[in-house]
Amino acid sequence: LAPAQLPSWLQALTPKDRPPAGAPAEEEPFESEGILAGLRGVLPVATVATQTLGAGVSIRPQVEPNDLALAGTLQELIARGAAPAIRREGESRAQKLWSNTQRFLVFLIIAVIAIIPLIYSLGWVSAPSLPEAGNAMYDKLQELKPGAPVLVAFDYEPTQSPEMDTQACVVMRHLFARKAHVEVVSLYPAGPAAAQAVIDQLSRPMSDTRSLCGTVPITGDVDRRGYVPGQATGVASIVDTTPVSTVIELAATPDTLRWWAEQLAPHRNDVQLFAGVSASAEPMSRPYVESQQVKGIIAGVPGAIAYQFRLDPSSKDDQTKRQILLAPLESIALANTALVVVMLLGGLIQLLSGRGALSANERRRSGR
Amino acid sequence: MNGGAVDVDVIGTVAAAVLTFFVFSYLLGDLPGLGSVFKFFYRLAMHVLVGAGVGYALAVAGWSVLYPRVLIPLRETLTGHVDPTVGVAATGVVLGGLLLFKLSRPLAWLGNIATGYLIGVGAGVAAGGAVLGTLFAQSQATWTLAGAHSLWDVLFLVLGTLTVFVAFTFTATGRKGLAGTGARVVQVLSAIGRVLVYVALGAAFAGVYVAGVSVFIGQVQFVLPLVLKALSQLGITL
Repeated sequence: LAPAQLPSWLQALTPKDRPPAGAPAEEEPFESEGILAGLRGVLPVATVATQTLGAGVSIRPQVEPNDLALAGTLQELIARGAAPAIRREGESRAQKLWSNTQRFLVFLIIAVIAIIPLIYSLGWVSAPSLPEAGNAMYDKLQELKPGAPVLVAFDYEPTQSPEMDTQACVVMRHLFARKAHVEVVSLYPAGPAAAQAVIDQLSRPMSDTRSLCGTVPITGDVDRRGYVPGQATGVASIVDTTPVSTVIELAATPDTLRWWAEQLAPHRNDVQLFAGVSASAEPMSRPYVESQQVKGIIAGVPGAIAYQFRLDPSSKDDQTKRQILLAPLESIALANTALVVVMLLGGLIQLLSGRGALSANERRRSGR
Repeated sequence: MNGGAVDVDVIGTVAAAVLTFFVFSYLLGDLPGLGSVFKFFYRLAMHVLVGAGVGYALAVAGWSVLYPRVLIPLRETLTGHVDPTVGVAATGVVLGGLLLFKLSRPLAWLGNIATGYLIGVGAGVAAGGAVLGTLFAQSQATWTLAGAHSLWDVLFLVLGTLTVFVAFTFTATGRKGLAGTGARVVQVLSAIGRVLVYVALGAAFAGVYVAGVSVFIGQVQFVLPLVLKALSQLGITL
């Protein structure tokens, strides 16, 4: 960071005058530079706490016209609010349009490449195997006896449904297959609706579908407990009042999984916590898996697909089922590859065009 | 259509597909001429999302929280059947009522009682959980080397944890003698720790990107059958 320049009006406020020669000596040293120059013993808290403000500092800054202009600009920016059309210094309307077009082209390339495998199966991706933590989750749920109470927390909003529903579908299908008694709860107001949509989707015979929920209808014993307000407090109240030994947290953000892990620790040692998390929440959820607070986890769409293959091994041999399950994986793989290619190409073009070098303005700001 | 009646699912699917296209129209918002039209569609979808979300949340709060937890116990008690949870319900009503005083400046201090209760209980529960469920549990997992399966894992875990801690060292150090050597060691460890922090942040960002792509693909999978059906009716088969 470059050292900042204090504006003149702020410098005028710094009490630079030392006390008179006859003043009693104090132990703390003077501050010799910066805004605290001339003050004695301001940093130790005890000294500050016992000091009273003297009347020796004159607060009459002389504000220069330049500072006033800067303050005016700041005031104008604040008054204008979040205006969308912020143009870079020296950027013309045509340049702005071109940079927006570039962004649109990047989206278009990635979108088209991601959509192709959803229409034509390319067969480039093989069936994924479930990681260790996913296998642990499957094995534990497989041990559930008919009627075993399981609490499933649908902690995601409809905006995250396209990703999270895949995990909810495979987990609920497994629980229904084990004939467990499922209690559905959510820490979000819209969570119960997301849960109901998944339960409905599982219970209907669906033809001409590309959903990972599958086409074979399945229903189960579900008790809907709805929305529980209070975030961590809500989790504590559920944990205290619900006689379950298994909790499955479907989390789109790491926060909700953390609330469950934290509130189970002081309240219940007999409850096994499992999780299905979004790909974005996986890195922050891993520490709880390593510490065994979360006994098993599946992450993102790839985790859900691998779980479905374990749940229904015949999918590997059935060409139609296999294509339906692997299409999203092919899309993700191709989109990732396309993104890497675009990044490399962009960097190369930037390098060759000489725009990778710092502008004079940027060099001045970085102090080089 | 089923015997003249319109299938609600079909209407919902079509509405969802149209709103999906409205959201994607944001990408065309900078086109000269038609840009403002696309931005209008995007804003319309956003207004529908926010309005429907807030309305739904209010309905859920009323139907799933206030009605079963407050109104039913109070009604039962008033009709002579004392509900054991009526005390909790009455306390909630009183505290909730006090919050309404926040609307009046002279009486806002009455709302502070409810706010203080909320913050106190919330902070107490969250702090207790954070200490026992994260601080102690994660520290224990670190010193028991949880998740380490080989010697490399152990080395990486120990060095990674220590260097990331050192990366957050912000103390002034000497430049000569033993203090200077110590400062240089701290600088090297700190640099390694910072690289590990960058890697962790990179992994988090990659996760966010994959989640975004997954949501996009999921939404396309939802809309695609409808689009393909519409195209086939126009004689275009993919």
